[in-house]
Amino acid sequence: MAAATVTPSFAPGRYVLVRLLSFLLVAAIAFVVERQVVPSLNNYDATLIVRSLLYASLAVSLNLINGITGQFSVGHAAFFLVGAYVSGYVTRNYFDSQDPLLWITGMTVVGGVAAAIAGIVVGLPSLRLRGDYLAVATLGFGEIIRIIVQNQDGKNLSFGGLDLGGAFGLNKIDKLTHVWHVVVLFILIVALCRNLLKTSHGLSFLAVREDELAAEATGVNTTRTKVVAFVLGAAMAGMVGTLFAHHEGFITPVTFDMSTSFLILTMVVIGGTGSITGAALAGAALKLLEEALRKIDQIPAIDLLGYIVSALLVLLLVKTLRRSRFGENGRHVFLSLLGAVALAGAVVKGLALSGDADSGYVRFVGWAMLAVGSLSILFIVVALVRRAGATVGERMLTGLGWAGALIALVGCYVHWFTGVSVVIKVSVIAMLLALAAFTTLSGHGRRGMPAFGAVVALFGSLIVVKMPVTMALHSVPFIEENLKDTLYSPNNLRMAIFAFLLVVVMLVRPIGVLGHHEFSWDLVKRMFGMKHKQQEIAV
Amino acid sequence: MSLLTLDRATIRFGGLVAVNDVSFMIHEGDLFGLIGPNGAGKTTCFNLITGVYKPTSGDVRFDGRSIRGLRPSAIAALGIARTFQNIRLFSALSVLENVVIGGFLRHRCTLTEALCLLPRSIKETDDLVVEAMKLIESFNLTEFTNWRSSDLSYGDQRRVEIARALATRPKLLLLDEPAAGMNPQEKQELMAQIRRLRDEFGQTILLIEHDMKVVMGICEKIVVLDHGAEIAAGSPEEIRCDPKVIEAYLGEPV
Amino acid sequence: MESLDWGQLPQQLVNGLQLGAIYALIALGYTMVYGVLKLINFAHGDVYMVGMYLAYYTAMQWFNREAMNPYVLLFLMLIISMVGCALLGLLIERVAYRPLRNAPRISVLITAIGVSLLLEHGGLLVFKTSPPPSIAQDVNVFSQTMDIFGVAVTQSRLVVFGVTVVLMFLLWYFVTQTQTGRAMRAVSHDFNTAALMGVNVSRIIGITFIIGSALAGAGGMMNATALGTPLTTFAGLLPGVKAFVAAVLGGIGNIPGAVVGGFIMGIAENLVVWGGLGGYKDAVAFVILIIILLLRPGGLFGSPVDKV
Ligand SMILES: Nc1ncnc2c1ncn2[C@@H]1O[C@H](COP(=O)(O)OP(=O)(O)O)[C@@H](O)[C@H]1O
Ligand SMILES: [Mg+2]
Repeated sequence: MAAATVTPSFAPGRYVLVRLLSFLLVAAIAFVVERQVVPSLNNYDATLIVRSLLYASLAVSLNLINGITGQFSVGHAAFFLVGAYVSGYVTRNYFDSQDPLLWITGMTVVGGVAAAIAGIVVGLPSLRLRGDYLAVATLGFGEIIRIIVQNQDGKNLSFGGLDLGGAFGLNKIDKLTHVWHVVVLFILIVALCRNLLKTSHGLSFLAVREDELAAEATGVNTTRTKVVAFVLGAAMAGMVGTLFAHHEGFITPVTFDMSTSFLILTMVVIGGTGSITGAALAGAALKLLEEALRKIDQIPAIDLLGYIVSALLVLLLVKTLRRSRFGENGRHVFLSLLGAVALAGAVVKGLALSGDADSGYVRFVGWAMLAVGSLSILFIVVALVRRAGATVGERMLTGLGWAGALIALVGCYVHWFTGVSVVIKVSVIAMLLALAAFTTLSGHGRRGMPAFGAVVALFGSLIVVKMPVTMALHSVPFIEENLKDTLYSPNNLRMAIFAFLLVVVMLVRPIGVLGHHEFSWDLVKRMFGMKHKQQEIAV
Repeated sequence: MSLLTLDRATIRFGGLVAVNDVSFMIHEGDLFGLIGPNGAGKTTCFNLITGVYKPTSGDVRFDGRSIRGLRPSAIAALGIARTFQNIRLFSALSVLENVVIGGFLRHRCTLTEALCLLPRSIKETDDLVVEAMKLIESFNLTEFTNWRSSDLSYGDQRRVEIARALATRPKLLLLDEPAAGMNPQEKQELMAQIRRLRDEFGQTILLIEHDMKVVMGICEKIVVLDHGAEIAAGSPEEIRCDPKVIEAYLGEPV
Repeated sequence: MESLDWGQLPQQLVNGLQLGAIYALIALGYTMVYGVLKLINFAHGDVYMVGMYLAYYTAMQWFNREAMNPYVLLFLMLIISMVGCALLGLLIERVAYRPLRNAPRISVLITAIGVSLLLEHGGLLVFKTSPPPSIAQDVNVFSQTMDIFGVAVTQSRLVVFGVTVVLMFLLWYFVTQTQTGRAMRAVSHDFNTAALMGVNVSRIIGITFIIGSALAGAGGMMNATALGTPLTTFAGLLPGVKAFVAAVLGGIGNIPGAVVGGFIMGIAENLVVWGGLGGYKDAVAFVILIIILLLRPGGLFGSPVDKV
């Protein structure tokens, strides 16, 4: 029987020295970021770092409730809001610029406590509910809090004439947040969650997620555990809210509406419900993606529609092929053929571009495409000849996998010369490399390459199929008439993209990308095929 | 003095009286059997004792105080642990983690200590791990220590569940059909183990078992339920000859 | 806060009834789907939004509005909205929910949220949103006002009300008097047993989605024509949530309950506006939701026992 070995997640790092070092490391990171990285960035890049870290922290805090304790909360933006508004209001009205560091620290505590109180108010009644009822109750509470704040404009609907700027929001909050504050808060939140999971306390949270009745019978007070998790998560979100408010300087209620809650939820779900690593990574990645999409040029509507239709077509084809008598192998061959066509297309396109006399950059890209495309085709041939895999399909996919790795590398290099923000560049490249490393190196060894190849092939097929599909779409009068001149800014579609990702992740891997896995050195070792050392327990 | 007393405990679900006026007493060191045909209300009895349901009328006393209306975790803290008829392990967690959670109610450190990973929380967790390892070893599950609990075989899962219950160091252990779904050999072993628990560690045990032969083999006192009502009580010999019991069992289409 | 204007009350009640009729139509879909799948179909409000757009395109693009008999056009709009939404509902069920039939309920719920977001934001691709189109002036042939006991009632309100009642009657007939309807009730009563008894559960679920979505489509069409709500792809979000509250209020899974709940929601909302608390209009639904969830999770007409 194939049994997965679970490393005890809670075995505490028991060396005082290690923990001391990690404190020092945090301080060092914060220091380096503030002194070395931030000055060399422009304002926008700094903002990117702050926002992505803040959202990563938010995702980690929601993960404590949704992932670790298994309580499906969909109103997290409300606690974010409470922290932001309470601290923002206090700062705006009482800040005296004596000691900004002390002030912002104090405000973080204030925001956290305020959100914790909101957490108790929301959590105590709603945590009696389960599953989807809990979801709508928290959603409802979240919206109520937002609507109440939205009505506090000092006029007749406010409570006691409280003026929070109503729908226009609270402005002129002193911008006290430094990048290193955010780094420290992020590390603090992650560390708290991680620490918790290293003790038996953390196990009791997991027990509530796994089986409430059994947890009760084993002596875990589930109500208390749930409320504690909820309040902790809320408090963390409140602290994040504080730094957010003091970073932006200007907050409006819409920033904290249902779609923000959904966004945070999406991060947690995609990252892997219960995985701190997953939540943090997905949080940062999705936020950066969101910001990156703002910078991408508008896309003609019909092209976009073409992509969607062809994605559906490819999926459908793959599915029917797998069921047909060609089976798995047929699917592999089909995918790889489409991928190969895409590569050939790249060669042709590269040929065309490399002749461009006007732009050095375009010529450079053209040569790169030409080289990579031909090399990739060579890879496939080599893989076929060398019989790297059991079936023809697997061999081709292996070749494509190598090709994909190459393309990723060259793409990163070429990408480096574009005008995109450094932060986005670095993170996109890091993500690409991580994806490539993860799929190729992850535990399953020989299956890694073809698996990565399949991903590459899917993208390739998308590009191939898209061309005829788009042409067909152009020939449909209704679509042509309505969408001919329509352009979409990807920025407006970001939520659609996230939603799409969410649905796909749910359909393919309901447990989220990382599942319950946490980053640990053991995981890395296993990824690289090293023998996993049995946890030593001093008896 | 008796450890557990059911005093005319009754529970209704709508029109159905699932447990009807049931009274019995368990003393320290007893190996007590609760039997009856399917749907007799045995599991519901367990649920009454462990606080999953609150009796509609009647009382449950444990260790000299009424535990009626307490929440299950509080009852577990007082010293009643149980297993479930349809295994309820924390399936995504490892065997070790499952058993460690059993010891959770005995630990003293606060949440703040855990969040800051202060020495006491580390020490307590370590102690729990050590204890859990011993329990796991005594159930011959050492090789599965780090397995995902849902990957174990049915019989092993049952034993993990018993280990988890024992990790709470209960004064009274409730086992709901622990041998269900096991083959005769496994059954024999399990029963021997249960008996050893009692004989060597003085563990008080209340056992539900569907298989008459098994219960007769190891229990000294037995209560028979049918349709929620107590129809007989006594030693295995008395039960064996009781016409009402024979009727209840023979009348049951299996 | 201004003092209450009692003369306005009957008018607000009538407004509430009309809004309530539309909420009720949407709530029926929630309640039916919850009945069979135990799933809060978050995307239902967005199906309603698509219904509004289908009505809009039918009237403004697909047919020559000037050359047609307006009554025929309205009927066409209704039919196209209903059929289009029915197909969309079926598609959503097949693509997104069916593969997750055996997955944990939370996964399905997350998928539903995803589908909802996808329709709202992906709808930007397909639908005209700026400026938000509104079609009431162009196609509403029932715009005259009548005076009933001093309350000004536009004919369209009566028509909406009438059509809603007819649709609900048809639904009632279907659910109680036909074989399929009985099967549907069996499935919602006990999924597994119904399957064992030979009910084709997949088919029933499909039909449930078809009917629920068609009703939402009808609601969308009537809202767009009679009330002239400006169309955006988010137009279904709040009505959807409110209709969901209506379904919970009436006891989720309970068909007559959903209708009553819808009317209560419509009236409550208008009363809040009447009471001078217009800013909190959208909060009412959530307040009602939370009160009902905490006090009577089974809804007004459900059993008082905890259903969750
Ligand atoms: N929560 C409940 N609601 C309604 N009926 C229940 C509930 N729990 C148990 N019952 C009913 O009580 C009776 C006894 O069940 P149970 O205690 O499980 O029997 P067994 O002796 O086989 O363990 C059964 O008829 C069962 O249907
Ligand atoms: Mg039983």
